[in-house]
Amino acid sequence: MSQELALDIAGITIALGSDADLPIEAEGAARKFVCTDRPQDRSDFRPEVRIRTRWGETVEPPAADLLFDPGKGLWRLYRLGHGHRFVFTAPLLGPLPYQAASFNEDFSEGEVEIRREVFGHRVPVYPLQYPLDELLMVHLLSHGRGVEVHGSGIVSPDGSGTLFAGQSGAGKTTMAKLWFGQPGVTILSDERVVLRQEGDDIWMYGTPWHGDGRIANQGRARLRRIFFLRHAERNRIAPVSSTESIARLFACGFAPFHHRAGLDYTLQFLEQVVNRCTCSELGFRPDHSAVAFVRDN
Amino acid sequence: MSPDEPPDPGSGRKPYEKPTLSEVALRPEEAVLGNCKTMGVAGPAEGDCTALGGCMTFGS
Repeated sequence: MSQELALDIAGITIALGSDADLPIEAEGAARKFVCTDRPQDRSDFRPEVRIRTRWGETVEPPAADLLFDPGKGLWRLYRLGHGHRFVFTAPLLGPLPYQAASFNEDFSEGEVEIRREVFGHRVPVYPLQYPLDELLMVHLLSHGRGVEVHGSGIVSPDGSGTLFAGQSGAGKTTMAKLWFGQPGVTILSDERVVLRQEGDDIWMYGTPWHGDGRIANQGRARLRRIFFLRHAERNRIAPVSSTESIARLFACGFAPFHHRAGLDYTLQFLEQVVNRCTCSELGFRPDHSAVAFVRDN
Repeated sequence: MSPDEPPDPGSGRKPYEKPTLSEVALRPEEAVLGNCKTMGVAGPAEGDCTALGGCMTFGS
């Protein structure tokens, strides 16, 4: 339990603080992404994002300021001056938002408000509980940092990364489980990875947002190959053009659809990814023959 | 160069390829966040979550 917490997700450091009457801690897979060396205690600590958490009224802005509504009633994004405000609701928790989060224009500073009536008896609280954590990451990435995509990320014994990308049902978790336990192999995620560029290299990072396999690990690897997954009767690799690879990655990715500049950046970044990696379609049988097939090809 | 003309071997240019149109499906429910693949409900509303907001499985 702490009033201060620092997370490192995909190389982005997020400092969380709270008022004295609101204890906070990470939960679930996010615990693996807590900075254990407590960098927040150092005077030279410079996180990319600072977020304050407090009990609050979680007021929903007027409808005229609505920027984006995904349509399921779980969260909405509003314009707040030059910044943004997320509002979170859940049917079982009543009509009022149980949480709200306001950020400045580049999402480097924010404030999370939590409704005491909902969370007061369930402290400590994780201020960035899903989907706020992932929404924040998607928006941070779209400001020139990278892209998050649906995919399982495998690191080979030689340290190179392979991304198995696909939408729901394509076989991401199945593929991750097939690689599980292979000598020298690390699995970064069975559901979501973040891609970022550093020099000429694309790096693939594990994230806390796992799938059915519950595989979520902090770590990264240089990305060498991307396979677009589909189930098949036999293992088969087929080439995919650069243009289609960008489109397929975009379809597997997360982009801020309300933000033109963010969308432009996302597409440009995915072009860089495709130019630096080998992209193919992988039809695979859901057994260990697929692992051997990928290794041999 | 028209589609029927053979490429000039000395030009270094690729032969003309007729443009093709292919569709890549974008699933709106997967492109935006806010659902839980297992429960269909966001974290805090679902009692089976590890904590108030601890989704066990994130929506694809």
